[in-house]
Amino acid sequence: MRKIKFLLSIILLSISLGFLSCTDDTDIDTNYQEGNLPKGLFILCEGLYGNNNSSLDFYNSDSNSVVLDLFNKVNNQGLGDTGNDMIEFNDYIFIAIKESATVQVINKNNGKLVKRIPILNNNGINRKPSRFAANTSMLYLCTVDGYVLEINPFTLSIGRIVKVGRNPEDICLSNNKLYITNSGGLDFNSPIGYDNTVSVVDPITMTEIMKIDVGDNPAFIKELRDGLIGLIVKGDYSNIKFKTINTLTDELVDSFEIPMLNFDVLDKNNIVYTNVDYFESMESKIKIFNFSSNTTNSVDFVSTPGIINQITAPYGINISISNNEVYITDARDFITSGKVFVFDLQGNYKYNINVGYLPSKVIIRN
Amino acid sequence: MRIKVLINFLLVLIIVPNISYAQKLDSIRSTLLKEVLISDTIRRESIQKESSSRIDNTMIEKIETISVGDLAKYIAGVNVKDYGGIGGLKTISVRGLGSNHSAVIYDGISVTDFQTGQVDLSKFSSSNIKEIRLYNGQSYSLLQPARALASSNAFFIETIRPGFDSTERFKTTLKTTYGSFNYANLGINSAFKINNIWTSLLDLDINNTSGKYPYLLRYGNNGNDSTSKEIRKNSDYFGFRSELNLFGSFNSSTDIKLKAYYFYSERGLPMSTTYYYTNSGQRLWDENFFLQSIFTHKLNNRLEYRNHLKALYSFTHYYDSKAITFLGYQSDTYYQREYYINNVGSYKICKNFSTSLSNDIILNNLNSPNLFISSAQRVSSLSAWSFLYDNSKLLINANILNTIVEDRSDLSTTPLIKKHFSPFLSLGYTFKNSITISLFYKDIFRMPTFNDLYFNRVNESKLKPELTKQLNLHLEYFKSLGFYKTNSIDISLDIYHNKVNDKIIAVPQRNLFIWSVINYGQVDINGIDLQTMFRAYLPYSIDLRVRSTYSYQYVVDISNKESVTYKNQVPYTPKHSGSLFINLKHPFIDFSYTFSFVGKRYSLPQNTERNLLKPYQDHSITISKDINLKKQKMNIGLSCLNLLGEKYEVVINYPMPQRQFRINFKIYL
Repeated sequence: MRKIKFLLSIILLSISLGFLSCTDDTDIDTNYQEGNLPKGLFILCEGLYGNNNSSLDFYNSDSNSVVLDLFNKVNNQGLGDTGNDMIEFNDYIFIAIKESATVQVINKNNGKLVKRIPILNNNGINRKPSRFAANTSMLYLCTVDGYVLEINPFTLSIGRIVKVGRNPEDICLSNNKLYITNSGGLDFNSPIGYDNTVSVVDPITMTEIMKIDVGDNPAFIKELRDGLIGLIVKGDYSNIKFKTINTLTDELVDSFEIPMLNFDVLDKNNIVYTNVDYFESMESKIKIFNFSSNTTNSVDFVSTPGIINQITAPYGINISISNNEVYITDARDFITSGKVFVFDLQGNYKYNINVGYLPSKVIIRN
Repeated sequence: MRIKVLINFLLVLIIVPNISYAQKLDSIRSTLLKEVLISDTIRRESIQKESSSRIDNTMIEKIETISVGDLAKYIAGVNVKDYGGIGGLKTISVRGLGSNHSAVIYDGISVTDFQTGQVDLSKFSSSNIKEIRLYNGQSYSLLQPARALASSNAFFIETIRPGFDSTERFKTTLKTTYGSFNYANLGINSAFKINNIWTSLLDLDINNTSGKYPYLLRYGNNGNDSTSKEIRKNSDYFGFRSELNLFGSFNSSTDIKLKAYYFYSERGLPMSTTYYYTNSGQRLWDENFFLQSIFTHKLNNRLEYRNHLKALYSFTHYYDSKAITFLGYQSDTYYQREYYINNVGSYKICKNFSTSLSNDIILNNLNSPNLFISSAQRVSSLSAWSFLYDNSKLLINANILNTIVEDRSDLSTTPLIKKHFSPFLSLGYTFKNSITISLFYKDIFRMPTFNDLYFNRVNESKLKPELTKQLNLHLEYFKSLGFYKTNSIDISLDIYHNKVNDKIIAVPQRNLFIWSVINYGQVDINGIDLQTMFRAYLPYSIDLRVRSTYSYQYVVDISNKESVTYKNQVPYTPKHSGSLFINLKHPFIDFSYTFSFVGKRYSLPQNTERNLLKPYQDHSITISKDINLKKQKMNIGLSCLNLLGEKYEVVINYPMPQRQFRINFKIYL
């Protein structure tokens, strides 16, 4: 019933918040022809829960046009419900579809489905695939039911599994160890409450080495530089913190009280993070933060004037050093289709792309 | 347990006829014929000027439905949101206003759910329903509770009440239905005349289905996308309803109606058809118990008093055996209570002019022991002062409604108080006893529900009521020829303009799992409802009835000119919808055909191809035959629903059943 209600509330949201329209909109490519894909960007859109409208969109950078729902057009079937994460490995892209209990493996060159890997437990129940991490030989997938699974990227089969904490939100690799944020988010309104740990897993033995206490409701986690990872600890959303962990000692290093929703790594000392002030101004923020400093001071990332106001709800952030581009996905009002805003590493606005619902992740095709 | 109940019912089926053999009965046929004539004449004594749409007992009897939710789609201006199957949630939205703006009134007193603000019509089985009628705006009746005036429209459900010959004391109808997907229904409706004052009526109804219906899962919106044939799982339903009514008629000026109602259901919630994975472990239990009384006393020719009382207890238990929580399941329980009293008095000032005062006091309470907000309470006082001038040609009806609501919850120590005045005005005129023209204006609101206020965590206290304004022009032509076996025609046209302001919507707060509810936006609504009713007595003893409805609704979001959804049709409101009912009655056999049509809709606010839900139509037929036994009358009916096997969805990813068959037997004792 909770889920029906959730769906109902989505439906109830029959009026969208309004937003300024942007200039430089991309064209929608309706005459898409199957075949090898040109240079461009893969954009994963989560879609709206219960609507089966997750999509993998493709931006053609030569023609400045978008193929909406490339996966459906190539494979004559929808991607699924709630595409949570994707990762590339050699010629493949692996897409974790949370509600569809699936990892879709596609060929990066043409978007064709190579294999669908069901992510079910022994009783046939959805584990809810969440996020990926990869080293040179193996993919690791954390699942909401509290596990990390090996996925062999060559044989496309599931290998060993290891139990971690409650409702893992994100996973990253550092110093040859896996770090998993255990949010416990599905117990938020029960007496037990949020989980507050980061699990450390040895990928060689696939065993949990230890749990690090980081505070309630840890979320996104990424390697900042060799031997250092950063994570967002959301708590009850009123006192969000950014924390760092030394992966040589597996100890917490720093804790900064900065409200943020998502982040990516800009360089050895700086992250770019996003936030929306939902309680007061409703303003979006995209800021650079130096985590090696001892202050919580941040500076604006976007240097082109008039652009930040056009981003309504920054949702995902992907920084590509090699491409000299930063992709900020805008979920807008979470009920209408989203956009991707593209900047260079200096924060100069380049262009934006109209995409599907709740865009979150970008992969570059060169 | 279930089997036991079934066995008991079978026993009742066997025993009851034997008991009734002892009863001396007149010719039932002639009695029934009389009833029809009486209701016909009463209905047309004065032409009603309200904008309304109704389904009468003939239609309810002729078409095969399980719940009131199945019937509502034949009412002009109504969109039924149907999640499919017998246990699927069925709520109505009238003229683009949203389900929270409709009052559902069951035998004179409102049915409420303060948690969601929406009444699930699948909980009301159609087996004992005499009539349902939707009043746009409100009914003109002076002796009604203020609560019936406090919504944008009122949906009246009226149950069957038996009439007795002077010699009769006992009347029973037994009904049983079997159908596709292991559907079985057993019903008993038994009336007993205790003495000249009191009559009792017991109605029991039991429904069961596996709900395992086939559907086609489409993996995409394009014609060449893959499909797979699936069976709906975890869609079973078991429901039991019992009602005991006592009618007391002390003299021509004093009467009382008492009702005790109990409903229990257990159902699987099959969830939306997610691609590549469907495995729902969600179940829902519902329990409803209420007592109600309506007491009317006419003090003299001018002064009349009525009192409405109700006490309600409801329990909902949601359980998900496959939830990924610490406990390995999710289990939520909700308890709702309501205590309700209404006093209404009307006074005839002069011949055609009356006034009335109505006051409702309502106490509502919601408890949910295992959620972060464990209880919320609401005390409401509604007072309405109404005037009615009616000289059978000209009618003027006006009222002003004052609402005071006080909320208390775990969330805050200070009570939340809302006050509101709402006006209503209607004018009507009837020409030559056949053409009626009427106009109404109504300004009303809905309070935020307990879910809006307390179960979404953030920013609740700033929430204002959602406002609606309605302007309606009603034209009706009615002509009846002759006195006995009258051919008649009734055509009505409504043109309306509605507006919704401060719409209450949920928006995600920080992430998709924390939502807050805010007042945002405006909806602009323009529409037309067209209804026709036609009855003719044809040669060869054929009695023909034709009823049709057509609705046009242009319901658009006008919140923000810059938005991509500006002037987009609001989700789940079709521009075009309609229905047709044809009944051919012959002494030998009875044939009914129903058709309903819903045009294209969108599942999300953006009117894109991707969000399009395809139009659908539903054709159903019923053939029934009366069989006269020695002393009893029996009726056998055969139905085919969704004759063409249309594969469609009303709500996205909630497939509806395809072709279904049902057979039913009725015995009148």
